[in-house]
Amino acid sequence: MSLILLVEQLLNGLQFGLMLFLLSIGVTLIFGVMGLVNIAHGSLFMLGAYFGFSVGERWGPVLGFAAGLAGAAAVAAAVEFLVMRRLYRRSHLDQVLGTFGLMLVCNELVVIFWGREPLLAAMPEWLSGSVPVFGELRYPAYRLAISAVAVLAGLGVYLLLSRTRVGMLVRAGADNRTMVEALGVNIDALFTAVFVLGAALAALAGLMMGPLITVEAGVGEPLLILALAVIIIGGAGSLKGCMVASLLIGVVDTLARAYLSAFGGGGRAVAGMVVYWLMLTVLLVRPRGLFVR
Amino acid sequence: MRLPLPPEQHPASRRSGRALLALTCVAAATAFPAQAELRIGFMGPMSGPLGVTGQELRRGFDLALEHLGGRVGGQDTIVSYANDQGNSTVAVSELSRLLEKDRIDVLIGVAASNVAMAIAQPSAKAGLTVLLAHAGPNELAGKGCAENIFGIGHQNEQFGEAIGRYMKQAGVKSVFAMGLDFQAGWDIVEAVQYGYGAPVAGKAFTAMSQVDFAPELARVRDAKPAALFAFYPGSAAVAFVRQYAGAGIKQQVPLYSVGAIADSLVIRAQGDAALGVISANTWNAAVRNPQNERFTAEFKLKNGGREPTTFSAQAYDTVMYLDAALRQAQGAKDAKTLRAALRDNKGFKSIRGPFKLNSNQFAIQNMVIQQVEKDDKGAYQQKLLATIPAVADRFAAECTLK
Repeated sequence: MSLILLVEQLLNGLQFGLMLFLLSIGVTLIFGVMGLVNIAHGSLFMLGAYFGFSVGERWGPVLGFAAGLAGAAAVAAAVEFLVMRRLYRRSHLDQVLGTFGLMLVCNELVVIFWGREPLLAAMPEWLSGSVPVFGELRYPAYRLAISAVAVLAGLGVYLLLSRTRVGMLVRAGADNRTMVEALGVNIDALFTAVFVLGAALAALAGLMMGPLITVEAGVGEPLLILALAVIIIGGAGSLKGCMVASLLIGVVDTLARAYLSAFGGGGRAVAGMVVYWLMLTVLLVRPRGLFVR
Repeated sequence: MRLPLPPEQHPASRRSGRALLALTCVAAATAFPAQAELRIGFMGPMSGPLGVTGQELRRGFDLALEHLGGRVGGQDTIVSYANDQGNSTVAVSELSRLLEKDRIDVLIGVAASNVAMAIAQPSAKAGLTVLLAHAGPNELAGKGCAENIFGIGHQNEQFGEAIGRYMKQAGVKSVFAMGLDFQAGWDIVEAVQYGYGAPVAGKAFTAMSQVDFAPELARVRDAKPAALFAFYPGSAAVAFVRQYAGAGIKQQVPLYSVGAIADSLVIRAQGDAALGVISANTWNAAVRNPQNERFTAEFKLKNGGREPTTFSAQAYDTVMYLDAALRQAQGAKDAKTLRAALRDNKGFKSIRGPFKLNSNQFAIQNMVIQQVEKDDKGAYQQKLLATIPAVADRFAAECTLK
């Protein structure tokens, strides 16, 4: 068990955690501010990737990136207006069922329009090498880029929520919707804006992660499950909780897979469960998450 | 308005005349059962996680039908398509539908091993002959072998054994194995070890839903093997190959796998990451015989210049196999004659080259070893490196047939 390997695995864990963070910010924002459980968040991730890479293949990466974000935002706005508005006041179960159905529809639509074969998600040439990190350890540049984007995105959302007027309104609306409405703020428009922001963050995650994973129908679902675990552990609506929980899950999951799988089938099974044991423990000890009282 | 006469008031002669006519029609219908055509059922995973495979199988199947002018074995053919979704329960109910409603004579297709296992008993009970175009589970080749099941595509061991044998031939000193954490993944690593003649230096199986392979690739880098064998079929191939290339270990640890790791369905999404990957396959475009040249050229024409894959090749070959057997049996569709012809098929010319049936009714075929490279036009192709001749399987001895 060499030191270099340990450092590399820690780096892998942190990087995986940051990838999760990028996807989870959107979920925590939407759940924390609007109380909406959105199972279709993974679909927004997928649509961001599909729009982005389809356009990018023809018209270059920059336009592709913009198209991915814009396309997902447009779909989100439409979905919010048509579907989500009816779900805000319903129970969480109704929200789960509704957004689950939405997810299934999105997956089939993607198959209808793009087919079943995986999509080409090109990685920019200048990021496809590796950089020296620690001694003789070289780490893929692209993964470091994803981590950087995740940190910047988190910072951006934090600044938006805490330092701007809009952010203040969003936080107020989350606390007491009726009062904010009574003060003359268009809460409907505000919530649409939050939903679209969450969708854009999901699309950003999809665009960044696309070149590393297989872009196909249903690509968002396995990651969404982990994102929900992040929300449960970190606490809904808490950005700090989201970051800490993502990193925790990333490191724990990676180290478990890296070291427990040496113990054969049983070890692998345990490694797969570790994150969920963590989640269960948090639910028992601090039901609202680590950073929410 | 004049009401029609109620039946009792019709003249007796007219009533009995109508009855006689009806009786004659029924007698005529039962006296001449109208099944002069051949009814084939095609079953595959047309949707769901294996949807890409099923659709590709169907493309090969349909192309073969076209080349035969819609007449398999010289008979008018009616095809019924079924979607098993890669799911055993759905497969069994689809099989019932094909048997009872469509009254198929033969079933062709099946990609998933679990589906093949699920339909083995029901099809045997119904006396249905099944030609497996892709699936080739170990149980059906060994103790569970059945006289109604023919494995024309391949037997699962053949891929692993072929690449194992090639690695041994190429003098590879040590192998690290990675794959999906399920039965097929474990089986193929066993097969590789069998062909390689020695156990692998390390194993890392990953969960089906895992998208990030960084920890396992880090373990590979640390273990410093001479080669990496990986089994990531379907769309997982894209993520794995891209991450493997990104880990920067291609030079030190070359990747050996099976055809689906970089076939024409996924290579576009993989790009340069797949260059240099060596894989074992049942078929390659460069296998030289007139059938293959015709098949490959026509397939490319119909699919926007995309090359066939092992799935379309196997489905095509399976239809041709049935065609040759039916001609040999002179159109007899009854189980006994048909199966005898299938067992001893003299007229079949495979696009894959030399082909024989083992005693367990599974294929004995040449496996090709191929490597991904770019041609001078920048298109990706699988260069034929070597052929491993007459690969059979380890389970034939356990089969009690013949």
